[in-house]
Amino acid sequence: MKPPFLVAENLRKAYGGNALSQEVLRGISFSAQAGEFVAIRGPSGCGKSTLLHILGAMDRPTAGKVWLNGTRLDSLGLQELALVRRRQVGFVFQAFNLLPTLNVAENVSLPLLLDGVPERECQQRAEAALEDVGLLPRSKHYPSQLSGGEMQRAAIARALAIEPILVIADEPTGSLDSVNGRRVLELLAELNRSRKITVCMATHSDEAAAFASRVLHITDGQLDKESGPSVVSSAL
Amino acid sequence: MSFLRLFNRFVLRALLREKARSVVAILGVALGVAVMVSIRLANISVTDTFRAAVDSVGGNTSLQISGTSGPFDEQLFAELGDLKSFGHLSPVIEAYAMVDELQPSSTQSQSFPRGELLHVLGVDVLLDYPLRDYEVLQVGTLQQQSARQVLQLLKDPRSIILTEKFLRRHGLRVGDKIPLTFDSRREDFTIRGVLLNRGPAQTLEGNFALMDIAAAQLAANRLGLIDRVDVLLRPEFTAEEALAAMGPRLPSGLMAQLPDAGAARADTMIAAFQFNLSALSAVALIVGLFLIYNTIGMSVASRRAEIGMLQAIGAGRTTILALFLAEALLLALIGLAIGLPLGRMLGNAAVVATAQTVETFYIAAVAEASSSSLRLTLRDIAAAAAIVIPLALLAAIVPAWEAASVQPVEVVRGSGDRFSKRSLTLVTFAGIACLVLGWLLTFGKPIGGVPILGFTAEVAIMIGGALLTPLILSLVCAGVRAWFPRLFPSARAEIQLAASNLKGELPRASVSVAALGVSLSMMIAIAVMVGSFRETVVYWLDSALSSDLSIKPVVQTSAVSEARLSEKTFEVVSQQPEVTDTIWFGSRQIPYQDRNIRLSTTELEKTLQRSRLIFKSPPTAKSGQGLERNDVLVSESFSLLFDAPAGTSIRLATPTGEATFRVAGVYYDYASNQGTILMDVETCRQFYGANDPSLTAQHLAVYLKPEAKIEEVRRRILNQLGAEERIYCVTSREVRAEALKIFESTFAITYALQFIAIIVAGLGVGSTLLTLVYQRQKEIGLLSLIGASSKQVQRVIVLEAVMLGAVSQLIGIGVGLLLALVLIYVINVQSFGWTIQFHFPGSFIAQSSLLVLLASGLFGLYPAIRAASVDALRTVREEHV
Repeated sequence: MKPPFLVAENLRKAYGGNALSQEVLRGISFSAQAGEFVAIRGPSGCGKSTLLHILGAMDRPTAGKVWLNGTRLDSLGLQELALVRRRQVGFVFQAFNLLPTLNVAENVSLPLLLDGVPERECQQRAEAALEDVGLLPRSKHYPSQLSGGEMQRAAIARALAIEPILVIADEPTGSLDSVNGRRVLELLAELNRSRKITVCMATHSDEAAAFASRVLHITDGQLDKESGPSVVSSAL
Repeated sequence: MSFLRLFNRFVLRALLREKARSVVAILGVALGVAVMVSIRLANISVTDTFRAAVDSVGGNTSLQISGTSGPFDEQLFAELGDLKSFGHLSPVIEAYAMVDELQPSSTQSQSFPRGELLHVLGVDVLLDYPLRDYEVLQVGTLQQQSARQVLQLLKDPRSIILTEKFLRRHGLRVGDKIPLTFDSRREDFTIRGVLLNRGPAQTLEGNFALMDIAAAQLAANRLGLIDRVDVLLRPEFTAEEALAAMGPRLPSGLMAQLPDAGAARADTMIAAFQFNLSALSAVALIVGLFLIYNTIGMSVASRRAEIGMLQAIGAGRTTILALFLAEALLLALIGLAIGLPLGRMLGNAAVVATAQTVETFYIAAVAEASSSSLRLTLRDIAAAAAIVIPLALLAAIVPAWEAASVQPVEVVRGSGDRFSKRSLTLVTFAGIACLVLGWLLTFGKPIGGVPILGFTAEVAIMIGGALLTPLILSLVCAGVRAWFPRLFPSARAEIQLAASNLKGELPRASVSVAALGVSLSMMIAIAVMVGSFRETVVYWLDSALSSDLSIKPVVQTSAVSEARLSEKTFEVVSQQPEVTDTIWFGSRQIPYQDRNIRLSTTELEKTLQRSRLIFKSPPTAKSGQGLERNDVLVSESFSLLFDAPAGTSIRLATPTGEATFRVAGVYYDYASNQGTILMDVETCRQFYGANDPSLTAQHLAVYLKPEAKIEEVRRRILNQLGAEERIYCVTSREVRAEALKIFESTFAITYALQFIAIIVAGLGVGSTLLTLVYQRQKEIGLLSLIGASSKQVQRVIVLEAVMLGAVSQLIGIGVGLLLALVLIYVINVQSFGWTIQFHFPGSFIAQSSLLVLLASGLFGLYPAIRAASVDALRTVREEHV
């Protein structure tokens, strides 16, 4: 039997030291198969972003283990984690996080550039990613010249450009109006479906969660319950 | 009150939060203030000590009668008898004597031994006592001596009275013998009394000696001559009345003047030198003020959201403007408070450096003011504040205005912080206009002998260069992005990011680049000017020093010294079988218009045959048969100072009245910038008489047979002259080396001032990068999240620093070369009357470029380390958990 693509085993994460230490994740375990679209829900401060950071090789747990496509992330050094992020994980944030001094195409090709991908290939892959998100005509524009929805689509294109096996999306619609938010979610769902990219998305929104194949509910740093999409969809 | 509370919350707390940036700005202003204050103190000190020396030696003198052309025949004093109705008259000899090195210095040059100079006053004590404040003690009696008793003390021609301060410093006592060298003759003098520390004894920190006038005439080789007659007017006469009344009654060849007329002429001569130093010291201050602009600019840039918020809740534009101007004022005041005492400390070093140059070129002996005598007066403090505070506010007005213009909507959108193409075009055109203005100003004449328009041109060029910075930085960033990744493919990402970041931060980065660029341009300009000057002097020395040996008295320590060679020296030299020829050269100071110039005499025909002069305008004889009787040659500085090109006529005072001379040619002279008139021996004898001091040689050029062993001839000359004749007998190579040593020491202070300016500018680059890192934490964090390693992040920041340095150096070279051209062809010519041949210092520019790139990289290291330690998660996550 094929091992799960993404595995979290008794993950714990504490911030601060000694007496002031605050445990944000308190023993979360779950697994996901390749190509799943997992939504993580819960109230503010419940630990969903922290869980995403650990799953996306941005952070290491205080205790517990995590595997991504067979690689154990919790034991990797900072440089190795950087390499995982650069080559395997795409990120989409609520605040878009585009570099204001680079144009859209340059922002999209930035992870490739950091990885030493040749210039021509950088361009081709950036253009392809922008084509996928419908933003190719705006490739020479700077972030300040885009709307919020366009900026988030550019961020998704940047995540896609590296051809990731996992996309981490942290409240990707949090800064968008409902129309643009829906378009972004449809885009993520489409990529998940067509390319079999695993997506882990933190969200507050019922509508966003409805796009996921699985929904994990977290309360006080612990996995509270798990539900399927139909439950949420039917509630909409 | 509410403004103060707002200032406290909005400005003070931010300054405390951004400690590094605040400290850098304050340090920059403090260093600038310190340099400016130290140079001001040094300039005032040199002028004041010289003035004090003139005043203390002058005593109660109300008027001075001197020869229109220098020392005059003592017989003329007898003709002044009927002037006694005006007051007391006292004839005076003034000379300098060298004291043998009492505590030999280990660093002293073998060829050019140098001892202390004593200012010697020779007077008829009985006539002079009412004029000066003497307090003479004869140890043993410890009683104050009367004029008659002092006369008794000095009756022996080898007697001398020295000051208490001098004796104590050298452990000497009354009765001891002290070897002194007047001109080139060394003789022992007996110390007969002690002058207490008042009146003339205060001169030159106690380096003063009193002699009987006859003894002084003998010692200083001025038998039959007196330098001047000091007059103490009766109370019923004012100096102006007496001057008017005496004038017509003076014998021909004499003139009466106020006692400070000579000092005023010396002041005029050193004014240009001091103005140049002050202008240089202002560079560090200007760079310091750039830091204020930088700090306020950064403060505004990094706090646009806060400014927008303040405006949104009702703060008016005036309040915002006032807040940022108050921030600049606070930084300037703290900088002043630190810079003033620091300047007082640096003042001592500046005094030593400036006094040495003034001694070399303008005044034979300047006392270096003791550190305790350098005082920071209220006037100095007020002067510094009056310059620094308005300039600081001026520096802050642009960013403060920018802050006041922030629109709350703009902040929300985050779009108002980019350099628009229109602004870039506007700034570029303003820069070009400044450069054109600078070029036009170079055609201006000096004002009051000072090249004020020349310096204004320099400032316009510097501002022009600074305004072109955004365009140059933008072009360089685009060029680096396009070309460098191909050259360094392994660092492609870092290069592209660094170039994009800088281009995106054009307004802020341009300020730092402009500050560093302007400082570097000054350094390069000075280096090009000094380098060109050095090359010119070397060429001049190599051409002028055609003799095998050069002989001059040891007391001839300065371009304005009056020491002369003895007959014995001539005899000994001419007896040497290897000597084929000699050319002698004599000179003395004479008043001409509002300055002192030098009247020099030589065997002109031989001098021209030996090509010892390099001509700017070669001599043209009217008859075509050599120079006419009243033809003279003038130095380039004379020609420029008094607008006397070849072919014009000049009128000089002679003992028999004014005479007209034709300027037959103009020659280069880098030994002195006083202005020199060079005439043939016979011309001088005819117009000034056979006893004129300039007819006694000060310098002797000796030519030897080709097979002669120079060292052997030199040793023989020195042996035959014995220990009593103290001369420099040196080879051309030694003269050249000594001249270049003096040259280097003269420009040492220049390098020091520039070094400080560079440090201040370097601090600016560090501060800018720190701020950029602080502002871009989120972006840096993002880089890390999408996979950039900490090394890559560090490389991006260091590359940005190197690019800032490289563009600064590029601007520095361009602007620096323009500034150098103005320095060489306008300021130097107008200040000193010296033409310098432009010499491009390729290796210096290559070395300094490398150094600037390395230094910029180093200044970028700390910000790079800070950047690499940015907590990526903290900067990007919207929720903290």
